[in-house]
Amino acid sequence: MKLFQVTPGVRVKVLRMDLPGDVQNKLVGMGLIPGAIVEVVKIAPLGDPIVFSLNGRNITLRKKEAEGIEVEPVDEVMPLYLAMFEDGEYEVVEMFEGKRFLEKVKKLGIFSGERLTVKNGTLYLKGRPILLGKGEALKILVRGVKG
Amino acid sequence: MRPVRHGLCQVADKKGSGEVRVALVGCPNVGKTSLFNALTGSKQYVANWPGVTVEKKEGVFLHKGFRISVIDLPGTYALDYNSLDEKITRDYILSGEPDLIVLVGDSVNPEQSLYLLLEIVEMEKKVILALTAYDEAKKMGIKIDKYELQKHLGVPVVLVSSITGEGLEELKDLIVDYSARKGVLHKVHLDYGEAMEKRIREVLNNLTDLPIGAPPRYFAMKYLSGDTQFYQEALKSGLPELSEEERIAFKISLSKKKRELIENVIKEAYQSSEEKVLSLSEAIDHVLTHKFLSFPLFFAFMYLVFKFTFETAQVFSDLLDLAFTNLGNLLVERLGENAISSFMADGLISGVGSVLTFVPNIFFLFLAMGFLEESGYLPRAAFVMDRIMEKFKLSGRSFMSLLLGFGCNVSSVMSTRVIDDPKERLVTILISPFMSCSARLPVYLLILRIFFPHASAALLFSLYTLSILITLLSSSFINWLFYRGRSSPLIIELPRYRFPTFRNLYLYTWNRGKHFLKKAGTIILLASIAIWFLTYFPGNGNVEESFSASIGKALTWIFKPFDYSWKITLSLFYGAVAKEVIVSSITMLYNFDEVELETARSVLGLEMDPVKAFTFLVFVMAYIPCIATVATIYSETNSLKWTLFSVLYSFGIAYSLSLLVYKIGGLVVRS
Repeated sequence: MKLFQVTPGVRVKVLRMDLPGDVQNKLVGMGLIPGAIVEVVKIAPLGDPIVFSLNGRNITLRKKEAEGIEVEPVDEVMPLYLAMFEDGEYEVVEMFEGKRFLEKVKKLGIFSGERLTVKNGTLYLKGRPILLGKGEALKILVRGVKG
Repeated sequence: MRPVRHGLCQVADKKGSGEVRVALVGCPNVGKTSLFNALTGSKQYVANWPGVTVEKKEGVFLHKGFRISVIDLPGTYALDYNSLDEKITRDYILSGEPDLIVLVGDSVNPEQSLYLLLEIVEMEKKVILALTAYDEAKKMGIKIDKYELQKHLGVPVVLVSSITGEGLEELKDLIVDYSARKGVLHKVHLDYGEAMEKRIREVLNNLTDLPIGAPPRYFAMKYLSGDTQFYQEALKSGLPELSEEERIAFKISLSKKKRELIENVIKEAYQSSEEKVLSLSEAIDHVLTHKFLSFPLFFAFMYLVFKFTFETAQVFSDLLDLAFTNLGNLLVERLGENAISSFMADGLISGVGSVLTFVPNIFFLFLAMGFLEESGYLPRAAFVMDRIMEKFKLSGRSFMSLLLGFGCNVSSVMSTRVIDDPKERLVTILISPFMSCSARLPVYLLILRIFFPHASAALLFSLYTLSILITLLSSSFINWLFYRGRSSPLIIELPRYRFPTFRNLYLYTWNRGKHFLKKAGTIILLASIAIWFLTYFPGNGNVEESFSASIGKALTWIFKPFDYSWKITLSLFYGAVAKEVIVSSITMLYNFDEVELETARSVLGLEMDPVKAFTFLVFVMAYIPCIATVATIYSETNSLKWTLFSVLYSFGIAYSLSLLVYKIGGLVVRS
């Protein structure tokens, strides 16, 4: 997934960078290199730019540039929203508050410990596709299941 | 943890005398300037680097019989020759001029500082690592073993705090001792692994003659990683071209190895309490960059800055004003009405005095700006505003420069050097004179107090709003005219919040504000004398028969559509020197004192109605930058073409805009 898709609070590892020479030079000089671990800290009030933290320092970056940075999550547990970028099998770990939200997922049949499958960006529960909004997908924490 | 002794103490005990040149290098926002201020106190002066107008700050202090001159180099993250700041810093380090380099690092987040340190170590320069903000680190429960750092990095390390003064004496001792020592503490050789070392050796073997100004190994590595400067030089000296992928890969590998080493060093030398608590800085940040609160807070801060600048400072301005008026009256009383008393009272005291009365406003404005900058709020404002700036093809970075323009356009033009992108930098330079600087304020206040005694605040605000609008729209326009490209990226660091120290604020305000005092003593003094002469002769005090009258009358055709009198025209003409001069020439030409608002109203009221007066202010707000700004634009852009463009463009905008205001105002008010 790309850095601009990462939601605040999630730590990711930089895999590749494909940016204009001067921008890349500058970021490499500041320590953003493949292998570096960064965390998106905040998104500006108007939706752009973002702030990510790198070695404890907070650095701003516009989404346009963050599009050129390929990353992968570091931690096992991540919001479902991010898991949807990567095909695979996931286990629901935890779901956040919201009475309405909890009712809805209950109706859909999503419980803690339930297995979800992501294929081509679509979410499946026991073989049937499920549609969730971004806000909802952010409230569900999942863990990748190997296999 | 075996303490490593410097083994240098004997040198310090000897009574010696001599000069030591020290250069301060460090990342932006690590507190380099604070350390500089703490070391040199107020003994500092600002000049320019040769050829460019990047500020070169120098200071001096005496220690153990040595005279130590300190140069505060621009803050940089790396020394890759990417921006003007990086160029200046690297060139200066490599020039061999400094006897010693003090790398100012951040105690709390040392990674980037250590990266910069390793770069300098590879340049084979003598360097001391001064980890600053040590008080903050201690508060956060971070323990730093400086001997461990010393052991791994091969440089003397000192932990300092510019706020508590801890470690400052140790640093001073170390500067004296280490500069006297032959060679470095111990040489550290960074091993990049067999594959890369082989490439470096190959290059070194192929070097026919040794590179000038850089150690061979450093040169070879910079060539392999495609450095802007040394890659070209290497090609000229016969080394083969490398593919871009190869260069980038090498550069990233170099960086990676350094980062790995740094990570290990920090693991050895740093101990911190594990629990992560929400720091005060994060908490403040949460509010100040909050989704809904950030904008109201931003405008509230701006409002406070204005209130502080214009209302709090007014008390002092009024006192000064009173003093100058009384002094003038006293002189005339004592000397009688003649050429000499007129020269002293109307020329010197009234001319320079009318400008000096605004010094409190200007100092208060810089004090407020200093607070915003030193506290770390300004980069947050840039971050929050960036999306809006991007719409005008600018970035949050130019926003910071432009904001400084409220103080003085010269400082805002100069501050554009932090903008890496040359296009954005040029556009910011060209539009920044539209930001209504503090020198224009006296004109606004004078005219508004005369014509709009009850609505001056609102109209003042509208003038400032107008100035911001023109600035932004001009950016779109100039971009559309010349570039039509994408806007440059916003990559800035949001530093930890700090409460500005009294010393830093005082030096910030004084270093900038004193330009105005200097201006009052030079340009404005000379202009006042010249204007007095032109206005007094040959009519011996009769303005109507003066040289000024002839000049003014010869120029009135320019403002035909506005119906300006020759006096107003002339004040605008003289005001091209410096905007404050408009005030002094109006008071001289119409012969009134600033406090005598009733007289002023009756004299000026004969020629101007409120609409005309406001039109005049709109014109003053936008028309050609003052001489100092024009000169700065020329030296920053190094282009006559762009300087000329700036002058003509702003004149054109001012003219058409005020004409528009005049026509619309006329329709609304007079109908």
